[in-house]
Amino acid sequence: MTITGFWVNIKKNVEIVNKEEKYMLFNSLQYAFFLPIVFALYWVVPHKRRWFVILLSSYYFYMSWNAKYLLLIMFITGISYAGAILVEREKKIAKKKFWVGGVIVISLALLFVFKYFNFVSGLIVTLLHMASIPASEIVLSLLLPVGISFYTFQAIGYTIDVYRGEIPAERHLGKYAAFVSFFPQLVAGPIERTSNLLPQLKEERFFDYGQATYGLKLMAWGYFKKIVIADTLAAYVDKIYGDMHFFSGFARLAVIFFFSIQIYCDFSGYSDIARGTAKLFGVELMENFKSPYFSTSVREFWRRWHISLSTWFRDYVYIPLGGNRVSRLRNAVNIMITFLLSGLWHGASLTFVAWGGLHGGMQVLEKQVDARKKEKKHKIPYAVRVIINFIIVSALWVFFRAQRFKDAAYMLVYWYQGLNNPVRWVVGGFGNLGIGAMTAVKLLLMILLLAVFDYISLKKDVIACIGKWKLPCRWAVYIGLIVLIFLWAPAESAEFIYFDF
Amino acid sequence: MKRFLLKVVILGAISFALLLAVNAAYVNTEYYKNLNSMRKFSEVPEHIDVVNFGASHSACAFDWRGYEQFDGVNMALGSQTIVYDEAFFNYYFSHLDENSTVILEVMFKSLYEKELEAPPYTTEITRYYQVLKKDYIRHWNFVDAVKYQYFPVLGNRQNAVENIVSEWLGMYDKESEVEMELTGEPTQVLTGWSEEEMYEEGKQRAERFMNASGSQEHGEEYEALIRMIEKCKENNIQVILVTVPTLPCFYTSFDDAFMEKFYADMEEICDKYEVLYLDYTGDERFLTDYRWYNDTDHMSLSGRRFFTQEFLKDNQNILRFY
Repeated sequence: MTITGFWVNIKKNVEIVNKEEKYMLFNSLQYAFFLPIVFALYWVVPHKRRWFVILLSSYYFYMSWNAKYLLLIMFITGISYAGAILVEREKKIAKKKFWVGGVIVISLALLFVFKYFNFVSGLIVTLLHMASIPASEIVLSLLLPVGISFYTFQAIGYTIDVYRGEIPAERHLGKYAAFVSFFPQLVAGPIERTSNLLPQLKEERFFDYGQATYGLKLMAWGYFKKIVIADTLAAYVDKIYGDMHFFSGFARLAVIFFFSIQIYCDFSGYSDIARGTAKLFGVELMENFKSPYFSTSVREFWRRWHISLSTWFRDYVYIPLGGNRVSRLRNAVNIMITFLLSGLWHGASLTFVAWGGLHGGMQVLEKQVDARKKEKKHKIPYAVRVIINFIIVSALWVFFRAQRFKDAAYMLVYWYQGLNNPVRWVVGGFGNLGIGAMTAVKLLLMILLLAVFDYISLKKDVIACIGKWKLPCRWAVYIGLIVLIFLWAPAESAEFIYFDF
Repeated sequence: MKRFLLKVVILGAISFALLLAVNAAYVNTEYYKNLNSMRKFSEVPEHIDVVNFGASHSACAFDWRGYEQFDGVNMALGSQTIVYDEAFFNYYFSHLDENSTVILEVMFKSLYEKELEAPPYTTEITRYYQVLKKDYIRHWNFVDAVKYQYFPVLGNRQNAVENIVSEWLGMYDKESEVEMELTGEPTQVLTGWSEEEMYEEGKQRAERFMNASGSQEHGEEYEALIRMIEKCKENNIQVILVTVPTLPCFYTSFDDAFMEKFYADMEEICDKYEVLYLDYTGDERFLTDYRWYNDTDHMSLSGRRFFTQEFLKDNQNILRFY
């Protein structure tokens, strides 16, 4: 088996396995029934029992995907719960380290078995074959548990925080289990910090009208991003990446940018729905995205993109490695290690590792350039820097999306085909993608709406601002958004991209 | 909490009312009426003199329009299986009587196809929600019914608003299939195709048919055909089995063994149920001009007019309604 063949098989296997299973997604009909029931139960039962409602509903939510794998989440919960208590009890640092190390090793070992074993096994066999050593691949036929990377990291983060003495170990197993499995963020984050989420699940919550309505508005915006924008663009992206040689250069170029928008809307849409759902229960989850495509550098992009993961890696990997309080070279190495691991976290494939590595490399480069410029102000206008950064980030996403390196290279190199006749290049490219005039206008409107929302979000809370408008105006916006979600969305909705991680 | 719930209900109700309004506008568009070629089912006469069932080959072979002496309905649809022929047959059965003729088109793969058992269902399945009731649709499910039957604006939402607006603006293209005047000499190659392309296409299509037929086992399609024949017989309705004309580049590409099995099956059905089978495969009258075909196995508008005319002429002494 060749290296490329192996990567394709791994990615395909994961896709097939996940698509065979039908589970409760935020954009499914089941969830439309599930959420109101849980909401009603939560506010009806006394405060002391609410953790039980959360735990039960979260486990039911997870079991709708695969009942057997509930044992996995229970196991991770159990070992991190017990490990943290043992860490707290121990007086000696060495023993504390032993227990925290034990929790980390066991959690990561499980993650390895379910997510990385086949990847590593295939890689070793390929390397042995290249050295003409006969070997046969060992493949584990395991279903990749949805959200395993998210809840494992959340549990590891909790144990480390206890070790550092930043938080006390939780003694109530049920409440801790509710924290690890809190259904709004269970399968795709945000990866919550214990200090933020656990106290909220323990404290008595009172229904807050403002918080609940804000939550619904945030959910509506999340649904719009996911169901309307991401799923619409997904059709074009899947088509081109499925058979890129068949399409024109412009079509390939357009899809590079389409995927940037798709993955942002898909993931930030999920995060918004998760945060909005949590607000309905009086819980505030951390903000995971802050208009990332309005960043002027890759470093800034990572301060705005998947913030819960970036800060997790910063606090539990980058800083323990020495962070930036080391030599320039060592700092560059720390950045590279952090981002290579971040890439690997996203998926068991070298294309993901390359994607992480390239992001790390870009940041090292930016640091060097900034160090030379020192106090000099940027001469390039803000808008141009945003556009350049968007192009760079979009180009790097190709490694994330492509099945193989050669596909990524093809996408990045052969977009200029037909450029000698620019009008035909553009018009033919749209035709090639199957985008007519009306569809082009619709896509443009969607993207424009997203860009305006995100641009205003840089300085203001758009949802709060709309909330201050007069009733007919703000209701027109809300109703318009709901109706657009129903009318502009593709008939068949796709699953969330980050569920595969 | 009360205030919150009240506002959610009001917001939901207004949004729902708006969606209903858009849905009502959508189902009245010409686009929706023509969607998936389903318009013909909204124009079925009280009494049907002749009806043909089948898949695209049948849909492209019969044209009952323009005959004033009888009412004919073409209930064939692209990729329609015999199971859904039977669904329409049963659904419109009250429109048939002793003076009616039922034409059951049987193409080489029809008897051996397999129904889609699991979602997601393709348009070939979901289109039936536009016409048929719950009991006539296999694997009927509520979500699909909402999307394709009660609120088709949701089932086809990406195109719905676009088409409502287009029709409001008078931009809707009502042009249906336009009959081209066949001038000049008859051809022996499909219009716009080279001979090699035509033969290659015919071969590929035949291969697809054979693959779809598996080992040519009798399954639910076969049983559905038999049930329709028996029901016609019981109710004294004339029933005829037909294989419509196709081009040699298509029908000669099938394996001999495959064709032998198909014809043996047809012979068995004819003998056992005493039913007439008309096979137009290789009929030279329909091979003199390839402009009567859109591709290797589907007739064009002029082809179907000619075939229908010849079919009526051939069988004028047999067809009860004619």
